Amino acid sequence: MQTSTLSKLLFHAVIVLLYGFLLLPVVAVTFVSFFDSQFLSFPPPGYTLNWFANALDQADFVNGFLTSTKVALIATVIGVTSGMLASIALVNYEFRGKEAIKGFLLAPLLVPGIVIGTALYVFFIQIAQMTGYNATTSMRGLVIAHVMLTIPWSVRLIVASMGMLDRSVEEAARNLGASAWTTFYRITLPRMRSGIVAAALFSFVISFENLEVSVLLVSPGNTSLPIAMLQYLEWNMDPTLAAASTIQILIIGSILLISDRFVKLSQVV
Amino acid sequence: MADLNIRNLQKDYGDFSAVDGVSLTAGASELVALLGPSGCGKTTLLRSIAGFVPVTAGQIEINGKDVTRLAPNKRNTGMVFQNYALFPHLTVEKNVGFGLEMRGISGAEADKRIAEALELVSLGAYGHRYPKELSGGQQQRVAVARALVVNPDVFLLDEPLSNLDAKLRQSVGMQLRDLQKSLGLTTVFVTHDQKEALMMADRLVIMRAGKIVQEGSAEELYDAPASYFVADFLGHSNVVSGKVTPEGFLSTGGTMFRCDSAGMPADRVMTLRPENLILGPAAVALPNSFEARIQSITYLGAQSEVTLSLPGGDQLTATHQNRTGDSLTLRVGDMISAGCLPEAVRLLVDDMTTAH
Repeated sequence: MQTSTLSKLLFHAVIVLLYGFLLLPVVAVTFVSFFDSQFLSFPPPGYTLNWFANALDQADFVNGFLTSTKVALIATVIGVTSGMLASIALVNYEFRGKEAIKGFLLAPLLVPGIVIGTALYVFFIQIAQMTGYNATTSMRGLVIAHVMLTIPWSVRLIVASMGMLDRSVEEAARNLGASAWTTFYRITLPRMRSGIVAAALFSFVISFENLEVSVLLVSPGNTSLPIAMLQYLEWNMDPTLAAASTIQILIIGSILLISDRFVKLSQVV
Repeated sequence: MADLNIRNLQKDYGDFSAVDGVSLTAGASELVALLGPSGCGKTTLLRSIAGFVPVTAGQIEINGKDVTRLAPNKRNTGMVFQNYALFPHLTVEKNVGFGLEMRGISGAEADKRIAEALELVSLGAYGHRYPKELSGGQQQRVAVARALVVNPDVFLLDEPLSNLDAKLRQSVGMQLRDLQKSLGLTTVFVTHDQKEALMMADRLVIMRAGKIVQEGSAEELYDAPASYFVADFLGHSNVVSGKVTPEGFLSTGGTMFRCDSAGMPADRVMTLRPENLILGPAAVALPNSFEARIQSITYLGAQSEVTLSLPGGDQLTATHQNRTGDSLTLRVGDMISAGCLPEAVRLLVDDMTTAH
């Protein structure tokens, strides 16, 4: 009796510790963003909202935020759509080289971001030398790189969510008179919804917060928010960055909470 | 309702023939059961009727129209899947109405037919529920209503009772049969459970390795199996090896079973249903009568299964009806008279031990 109470307590303690460990950076950053001091010191001399005002005053941050949002939205739409189509092929059909294609689509997850970024930069320069078209001077290079990052997440999440689907349900629709297209639109797609929403959320966040792939691909006027924050950090050590991070945490947190109301993400992730 | 006509249907997967030259008809409002062990091709045959399996050769006609190369959605068959395959994201009403919508039927006409179909399976009050809110038996009835609401030319059932618990199986099976008869549905029904087939089908088609082994009514197949495989698959049979003689069948153990063996080739096996092996004094006067030792008794309530050991070493099992006040006492180790009529002895092609 006593040992079971004790082991229960230990079990709960481990869980609390784990969650604490995971959430500590989030809590710490949020806490620091209210500190009323130029340099980090503990305990803080007081609390202020000035750093939030300062963050919003930084033109680089605001432009970076807009660039990041734009890139993330475009990369998500392209990545999730192509990831979805690839997933349907991978789950529903048998063909030669299927495993190889699956591995190829998931490969960007295994390569360090900085390697992808460098390789793409070299590749874009080569293309520019051959064709005169330079992707690194516009947002396009960034979008192409981020699509590469969103595809493996989309394929993984959508394939996983489709794996639970029963194909006889599609056959039942065909049997009742639905064409292949109607069956996809009316039966398959709605049942893929949770996988697609999860893929879109992950893709958006992965793209939005990406630093290491993007660092070589940004150009003046096309700087993403994480890069703008990194550049700020070179000359300043004040809690403005903490304030900007807190705003990001709030935005991403609310997107997750809102979408969870419509699609139970716990079913797929 | 229409009739179904299948001619020389062939489905090959590489070197393997899942369906091997099958011809089959189902008349209007007839219920045909495809029965066989798993892997015999019965499900592939059913799925090719529905159009889910592109066939290698042969022809499928529904109502005189060749549908062999038609897409599943152009065939007007109504199928009930083994796992019911309900649309989980749609309510019961929407599930049942899906086929009507695909046929361009909507509004009051659709509502009326959906309500009728649900009433038919006694689920009138469940239209607004989702499939996961229903029990297995209710889900099965939704699947039936969904298949029937479109007035299919052929009604296809893939092991419809296999996911129900044993107690429900009998009553649901009878309900399905009543429904099929009252609506006059031409029905093909796949099962591996002989009880289901015997209970429901007008005609049984026994399949093995992609081919039809025998077809006929339940009585025909049970009483006059065409081969050892059929005799063994439907119910139980004692099998005795030996050789055919002019008087009947001489077992390897030396027991003579008298029966009509005129014109029989020598390489047959003998089968005898356990219920046709009679025990006790009543057996003495029978044309085939012998003394045997009781080797084991398995009590099953209404019956007992009694295994007998014949003097030459042959073993036979008899089904003995247990009755209150029966003077016949059975004890392991005792000698007892046993016997059977010549008509009960069947000399059949041995298709079990020969390579297949």
